[in-house]
Amino acid sequence: MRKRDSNKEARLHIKRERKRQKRIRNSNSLPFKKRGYLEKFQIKSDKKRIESFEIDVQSPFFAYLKRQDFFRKINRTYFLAPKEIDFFENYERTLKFIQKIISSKINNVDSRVTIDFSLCKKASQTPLFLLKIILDKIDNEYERMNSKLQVLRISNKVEVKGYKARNVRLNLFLSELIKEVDLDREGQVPLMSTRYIQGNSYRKGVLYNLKGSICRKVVSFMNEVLKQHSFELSSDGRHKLDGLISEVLSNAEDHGKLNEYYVMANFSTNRDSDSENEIVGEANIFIMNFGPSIYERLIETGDENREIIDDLDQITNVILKKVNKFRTSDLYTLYSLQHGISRLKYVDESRGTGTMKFLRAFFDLGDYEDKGKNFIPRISLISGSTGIYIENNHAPYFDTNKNQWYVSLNKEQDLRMPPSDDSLFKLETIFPGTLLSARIFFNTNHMLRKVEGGGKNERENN
Amino acid sequence: MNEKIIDLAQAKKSSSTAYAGRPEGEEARKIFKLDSIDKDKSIKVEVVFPPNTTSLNPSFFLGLFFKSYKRLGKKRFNDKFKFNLNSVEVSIKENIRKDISDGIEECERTINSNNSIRALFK
Repeated sequence: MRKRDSNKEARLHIKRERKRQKRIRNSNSLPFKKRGYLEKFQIKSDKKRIESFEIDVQSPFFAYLKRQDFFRKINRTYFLAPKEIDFFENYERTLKFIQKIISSKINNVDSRVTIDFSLCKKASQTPLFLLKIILDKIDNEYERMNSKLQVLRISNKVEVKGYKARNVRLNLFLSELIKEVDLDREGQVPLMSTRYIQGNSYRKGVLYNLKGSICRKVVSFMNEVLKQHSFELSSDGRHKLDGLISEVLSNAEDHGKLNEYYVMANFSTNRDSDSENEIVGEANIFIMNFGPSIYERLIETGDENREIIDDLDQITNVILKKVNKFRTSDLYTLYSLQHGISRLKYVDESRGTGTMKFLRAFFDLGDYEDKGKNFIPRISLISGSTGIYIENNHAPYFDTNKNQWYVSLNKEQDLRMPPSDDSLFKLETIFPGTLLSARIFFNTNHMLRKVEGGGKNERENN
Repeated sequence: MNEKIIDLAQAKKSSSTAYAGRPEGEEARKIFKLDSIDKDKSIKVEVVFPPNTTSLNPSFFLGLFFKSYKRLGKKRFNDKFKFNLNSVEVSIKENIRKDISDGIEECERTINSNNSIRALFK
């Protein structure tokens, strides 16, 4: 046994004690006086950081918005929402309203932005979805900043208040801009939502792509929707819906330049009918990607894609000789929906099949409508400076002579005739990406009739 | 005659059930080395669908098979590629069969008329 070296132990003890003291000095458990001094110093440094805080415009997302001149010079923080927030009825005011809120939130890091909806009578989900995506993006930037701060925190949530109109309350809730809502049983009542999902198109390999999982989520959601009407997706229905959603997600991945896309689906139902079978459910699906418009993407590859551009020019000239209310970009956007049209046709001649498949599947599922009650199924596509709205009267048709499917947006069902300006129109303020929204209505009686009719929809029966 | 089995389960995430997307089809084409398989006349291919398959979109089908279809033509393509749906749920088999024939139809349509707008002026 070795003899204990008491001197050595004493030296070690002193050494350890010194180290412990040093740790204490460096830690938060400083004597109160010193801690206060340190905190003051940290707060001062945090304040400096916050003052110089700017949204990272180097990030592709905000850099793109900045290039698009999306932000406004605005310092006020209180906003009265317009009477109608809707891209269909009031596009320019709606987009400008969103731009102002976003700009204010960016310019006023340390003050709360308030939106007052007290005069707003109608707020559709599509613009609210756009607002929600960008607000979340900014909040992520704030979180990034918070992680660098030592004492202070930036919490700059937008305050939403004054929402009185029923549909405004409902849609604010469905878009996740308010966390709870008090609704009477009259009219649509929210039942479920996928919440908002962010996908990306990073091509690490098929095994890493999120699209399949997102698609499964949305399809399961729709199945739950149908269960509300005592139906369930048959294998055939699941197959159709799978095809529809995955195709549209593929398009979002393919056409976006910023690699990210956003998806949300929700379902609400009216409970005001006496008969359970007359209850109408409304499902909304939104898919958004930021970046150049469909038209800009087509032009980008124009030199390599000469054959397709020549075809588009040929039909565009036919229309422009007949009417002058459309621009080339509007018509190109409509033609991009047609079978076999793709900006990457020069890479692979078999491209351009997805959009038409999506449109056909949508109108196959969503053929129930009741105009009197404003139950009108619709696909809206907003891309750059063009808006397209497709309702049942302009659903895709099959041209037996040409053996092709078309969507012409006119009553003549002829792509060589001008489209209706209610369905294709130019937008003055450029939209910062491409937003596809689909609204479908479900009614139990209607579905029963469809099942009895062998799955045919009303257009086919007529 | 050589026989090669292509297991489509390798071409998707295990949690997804739908085959969609051109890039995914093209990537699967590389994984299964279809370019070299096309050139070897002695190889017959059995394409096996996994049990949880719910749909096969034309975009994926074209990404995976269009080059082979164009190179081989309809008859030789049908001789070379056999689709095995034995593991697929009975109720969905017909749909997948329809997806395959839609995919083949798309290949044919693309070879014949290329796009629907050009078809208008023919």
